[in-house]
Amino acid sequence: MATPLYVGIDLGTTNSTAAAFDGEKLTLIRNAQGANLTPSVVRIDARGAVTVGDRARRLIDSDPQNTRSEFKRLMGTSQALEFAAAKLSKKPEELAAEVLKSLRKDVEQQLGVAPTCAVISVPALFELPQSAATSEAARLAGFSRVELIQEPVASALAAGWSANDEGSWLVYDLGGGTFDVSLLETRDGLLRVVGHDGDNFLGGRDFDQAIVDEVLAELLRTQGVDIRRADPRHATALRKLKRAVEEAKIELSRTDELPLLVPGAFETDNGPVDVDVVLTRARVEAACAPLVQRSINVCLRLLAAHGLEPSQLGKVVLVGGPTAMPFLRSQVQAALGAPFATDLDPMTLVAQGAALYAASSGLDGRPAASSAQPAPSGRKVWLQYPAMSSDLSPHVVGRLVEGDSGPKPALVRLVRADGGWSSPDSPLSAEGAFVLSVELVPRKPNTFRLEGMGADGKPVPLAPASFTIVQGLTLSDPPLSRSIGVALANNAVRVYFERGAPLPARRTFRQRTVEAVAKGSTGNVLRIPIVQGELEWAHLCRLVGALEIRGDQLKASLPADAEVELTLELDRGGRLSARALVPALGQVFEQVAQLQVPDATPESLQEGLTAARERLSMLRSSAFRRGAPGVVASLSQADQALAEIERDVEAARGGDADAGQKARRGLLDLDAQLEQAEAGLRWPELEETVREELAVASSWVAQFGSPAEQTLLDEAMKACERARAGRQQVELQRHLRSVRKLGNAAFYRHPSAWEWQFDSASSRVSEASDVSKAEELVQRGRRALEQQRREELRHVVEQLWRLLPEDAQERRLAHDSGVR
Amino acid sequence: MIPFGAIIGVIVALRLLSRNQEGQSQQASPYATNSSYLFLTIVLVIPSTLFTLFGLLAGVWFFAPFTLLGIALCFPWTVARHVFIPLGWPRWASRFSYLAMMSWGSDARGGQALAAAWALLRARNPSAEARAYVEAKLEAADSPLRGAGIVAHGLMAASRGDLETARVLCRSVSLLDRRVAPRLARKLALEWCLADAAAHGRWREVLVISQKGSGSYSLAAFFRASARRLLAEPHAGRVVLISWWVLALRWWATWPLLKRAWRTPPRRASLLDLEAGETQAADRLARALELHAALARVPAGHEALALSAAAVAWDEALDSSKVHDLAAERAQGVGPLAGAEALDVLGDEVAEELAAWALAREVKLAQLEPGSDMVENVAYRVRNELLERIESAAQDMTYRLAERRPLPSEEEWRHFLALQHQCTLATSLGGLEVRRLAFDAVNVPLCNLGAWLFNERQEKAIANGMFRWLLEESRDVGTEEDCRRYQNNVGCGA
Amino acid sequence: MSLSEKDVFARLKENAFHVLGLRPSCTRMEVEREGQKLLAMLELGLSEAAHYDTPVGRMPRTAELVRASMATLRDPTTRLQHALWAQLPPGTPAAQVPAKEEPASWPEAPVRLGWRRPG
Ligand SMILES: Nc1ncnc2c1ncn2[C@@H]1O[C@H](COP(=O)(O)OP(=O)(O)OP(=O)(O)O)[C@@H](O)[C@H]1O
Ligand SMILES: [Mg+2]
Repeated sequence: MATPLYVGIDLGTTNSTAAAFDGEKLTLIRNAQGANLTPSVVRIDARGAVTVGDRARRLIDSDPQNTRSEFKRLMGTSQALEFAAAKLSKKPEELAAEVLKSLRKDVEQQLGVAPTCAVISVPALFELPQSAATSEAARLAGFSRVELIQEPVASALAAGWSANDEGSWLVYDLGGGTFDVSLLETRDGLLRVVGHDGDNFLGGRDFDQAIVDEVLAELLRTQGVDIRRADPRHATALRKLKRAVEEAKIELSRTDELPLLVPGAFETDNGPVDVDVVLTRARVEAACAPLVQRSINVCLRLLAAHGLEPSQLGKVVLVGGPTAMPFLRSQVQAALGAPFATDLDPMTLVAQGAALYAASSGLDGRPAASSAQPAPSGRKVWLQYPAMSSDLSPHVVGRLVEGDSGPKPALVRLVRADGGWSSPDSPLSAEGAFVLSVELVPRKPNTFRLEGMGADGKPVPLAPASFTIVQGLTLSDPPLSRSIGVALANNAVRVYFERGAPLPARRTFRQRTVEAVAKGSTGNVLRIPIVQGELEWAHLCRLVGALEIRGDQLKASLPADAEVELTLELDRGGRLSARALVPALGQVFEQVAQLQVPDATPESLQEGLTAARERLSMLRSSAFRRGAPGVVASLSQADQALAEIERDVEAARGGDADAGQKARRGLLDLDAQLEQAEAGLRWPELEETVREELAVASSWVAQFGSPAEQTLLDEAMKACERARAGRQQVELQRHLRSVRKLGNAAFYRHPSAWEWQFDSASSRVSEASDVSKAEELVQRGRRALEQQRREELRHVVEQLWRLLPEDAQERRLAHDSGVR
Repeated sequence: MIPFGAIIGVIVALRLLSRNQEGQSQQASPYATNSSYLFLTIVLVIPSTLFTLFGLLAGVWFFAPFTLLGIALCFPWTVARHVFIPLGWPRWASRFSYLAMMSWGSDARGGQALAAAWALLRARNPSAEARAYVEAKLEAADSPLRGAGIVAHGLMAASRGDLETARVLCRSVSLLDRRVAPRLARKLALEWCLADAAAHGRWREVLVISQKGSGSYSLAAFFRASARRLLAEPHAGRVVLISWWVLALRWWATWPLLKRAWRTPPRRASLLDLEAGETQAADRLARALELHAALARVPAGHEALALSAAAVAWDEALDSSKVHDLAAERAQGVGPLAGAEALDVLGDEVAEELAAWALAREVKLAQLEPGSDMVENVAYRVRNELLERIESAAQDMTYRLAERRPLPSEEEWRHFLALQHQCTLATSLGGLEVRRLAFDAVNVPLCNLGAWLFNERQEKAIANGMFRWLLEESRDVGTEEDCRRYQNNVGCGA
Repeated sequence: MSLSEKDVFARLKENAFHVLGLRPSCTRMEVEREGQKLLAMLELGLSEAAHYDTPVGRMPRTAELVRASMATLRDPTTRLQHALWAQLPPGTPAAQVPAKEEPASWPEAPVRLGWRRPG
């Protein structure tokens, strides 16, 4: 049997790597330059010729218009990247495909076979659109089948493969642009992902940025030149500076001090300005320390979420370029205490793990033609066995292929090729099937012969005659990194797939429509938004797709409250499909609209920023008023986050699309944080309101209520007390509304009630949507008041109310969902 | 000779005339029957028919076809009902139904649509063209929508196979003012609902429908008597059954039901053998699970009992020290508190499942055994769920009203019905307290919807239906102002 | 609003132990082994693996369910939860008691009363 070829690819922000596994040993793939790492840089020249890797990277400074890097961070967005000379614009996945193509060619160079299947690693916190774009890139690069694995899982698989110890692991992966941390556990040869955390926007790049800021600050201090990121004039110069800084940073992992000299870097109104500073290790460390601390906080948060102390960790695996920095190593060591796994290459570990994973999911990369053996002779058997198994005695299941002629065996037997084991003779079931458990030699490929015997005891040839199972650490199904669900009209989320659910997955739930959709009308649409995230409220989750049922597709009008059976399906590569069945009409709808990360325009970001700022200040004042120290503390964190988002928005305005995405992300997180703070404040606030309103209502009802109303109120007050004792917020609000209503009804029986209402409404005239009309109404009201015309006064007040602003609408928030 | 040409000419003329005057005559009396055909029948059709009849008796065979035609024109509904509808000819059914405007009271157009929709329901393979014809008739009946029109929409839904909508619509006629829901329409709706419920074996629903519906008293009474016997209710005697059967006058149609109901011996309700597994399940958790699983097979009528039993068993299981030990043992390696936490989660999961079951089986909360923690928890969840649904539906209606997005009249009515149905369900499960909260949630949006339909869209019949329901609710759980408002609104007429 | 959409007995019907045909005392390795075997059998369409028993009746087994169940039992916390629900073995006597009969329906009612065409 020819050896299988399992290929794994680490498609990184800065560098990409490929590795191959043949069932026994791992091989790193070298590129044309003889290096393991291929920079993820693509250049397209005027003639349209594509260059990838180191040669492209060298031109990134001199020819930034035609050379692109860091497109991984734009995966899944509609952002196209321009190549000026060739007058082309390429989507991020097309550029990623170029990198994959080049790696595929390297594999062919080294091993003589161009793989058709591969496993590609993606950051753990990638969302569906990003994963889908990665799969698309692989398809464009000529891979017919591809599976995705999360980077930390891949690293752990690789680390676990070479080590033998059991226990909890932490994989700390700080790459060019993303930071992932995963908690894993190996027991009984099984690798389990206990939990993930991370930051999609923290990496070596941010270190560079921090150092650049430091340099710019020095420029301001020493030369009085103020260079702003938002100024498009400096974009090129800043890029150049950043590259210089990055090189210096890497160099500083080895030396203590380095001069940084970029003559005439910036063009200002007062002529060119040179950058000439001395970077010391200490200075770089000081600039990067907050970022490192941030990554450590994420690690601690992850451990705490799973009830673990750092001391319980068996080992920490470091992955990614920046982990070469001695300063970072010592910081992480100090914070987590656990020893680092040595003798693992932090730069290629991910690719190795991906190759191992390809083996455990049986993704042999040899093209069908080359793996085909001389036409097998014998009765065809359909076999199912794990290509790779951690279990020492897995099952092999087989069934005779129906319709195949030739003598039929009565008994079958499995024999290990080394002769050390053989199964008992087993008769075939009525369906022509057998289930046998085999014994494996640990950490080796095990080849088995399949032998058949006729009823007369004579051997019957079977095809295939043999197969191989590799024993080793496995991971059976890739887990989903963030929950996926459907946004409901009340802004809640119905979760279809929980985080950690194995892929592929499919789930059906019954929803109900909120509103009727008239047959034939195009403007009338039922939207079913699909969101991803761990938060309770739909508007805090990411919209990753939407299914739409349009009026013009309907056979008959869809009434309100009609049933819709919604099925979501996710494949291993993160592709989502949705299907809605409307039983009343017997119709099925399938188009999923828009599967893209929304663009982050500076304007929309600014809007979000302003809203967040307002909300924050309101929360703060109310927290102070109530004296809630916990909330105040969490708000100061929010303050920091806000400051950072502000910086990113500014950079986005200077043309940095990536910073824009980061800001958008940050805003979402900030929203969630504020939501939590608000929830902390809500209960005491509600209790207080209830107390006040109960007193008011009972006094009004006592004065003006009917006996029946008095009974209703007593009942409602009792219910309020019950809900308060049980801390049932929604229930309490509901009863409060009821109390308020009874109180109001009694209140309006007071002879002067409308007069008071008029006073309060007229004091808010300035807020009205139509101030001049409101003022006119106030005049009319005054006259009515003078002439004691109650009915008219009431009419005026009601009209005034209509002009005053109302509360925000929940449904808008919930991505306009049409189901519940 | 009979001047048939002239007669037809007069009909056409009257028809045109009545069309021209429609606007004014409607203003004069909104519930008036369009009496032109009645007039014509008395003045022309009856005398001429009598004349031809005498001629026929005198042996002039030439008059035979004219006599037949004359008789047909005298009893147009009978012809539509017994000839064209069974034949499945929507056009002709609708035309004769037009002539039968007497039977349709204030909703002649609805009656036409109803006959057409019914004929479509009976058609073997209705052509697209026939469908389009009925749709057009339905549209004509839509402004304003009244009782017969609503039933017509219901039958149309049934012919599409959408029985759920058909049920909702046919049942809703009883909410309308009788003056805008002609007796014939009410009768047909009731008969359809009874037949549908019987066909699906929902005998309990038959009881409810036969009580609420109107228009066909004796047939409803016969169905009720049969359902009571089939359900083995106490005092369901044969005498009552046979008397109503005779009085209902649908002897051939209802004969199989009579036979069946006659045979069933009224049996006393027997208690469920819930105790069967008791000796088997020694430990409390298994016992609770057993009772829980047994809920899947609880027959109708025993839900509250079975649910209480399961809930009490869960209370015991979740408190039992043995179960805590078991959980702690299973939780080894997860953490010291995991066992207790898992039991807490289990409690929540159980409450959720039981609540979902209670909701699906429409268990009345007041019948549950008081004093059990699990029962309280379940009741709270059910109540909360019911109210949340109502609140969110009310909210959606509020949004729609705020944006002034109109729906076709029939869908407006169904939108109201959906909300009303949820309120009724909530009341029937949760009792007075839930009724009050539900009313508070829907009061404002429904009132606004009604006012909008009444004032601006001239859909007075359905708006009036809404106000009538709101009035009923506000009498029990509203304030005095609510009562007065709805009394006024209902008083504005339909 | 979460109650009605859930399948009422989902926790018994989709219990990971029932799906895999295992008892709560089984080891992790047994879970993997049994799951892998069932997946293989399902892939080959063997009738033996097509159904599983629960206290509320027999359910069809699918590859998705098996995979999800394996993932559930790999995580000790979710495993614990399922173990509690699986305390009652499938096929206890209560599971076999048939439901009390409801009075039969009268399917030809609409035909008899003239609402549907006969045949
Ligand atoms: N010796 C070093 N010291 C400090 N930083 C380094 C060193 N070597 C590389 N880096 C930084 O590491 C980053 C690249 O790391 P790596 O190749 O692991 O990222 P990646 O895998 O491409 O990104 P990601 O995993 O986020 O997709 C760059 O920002 C680079 O500046
Ligand atoms: Mg990486």
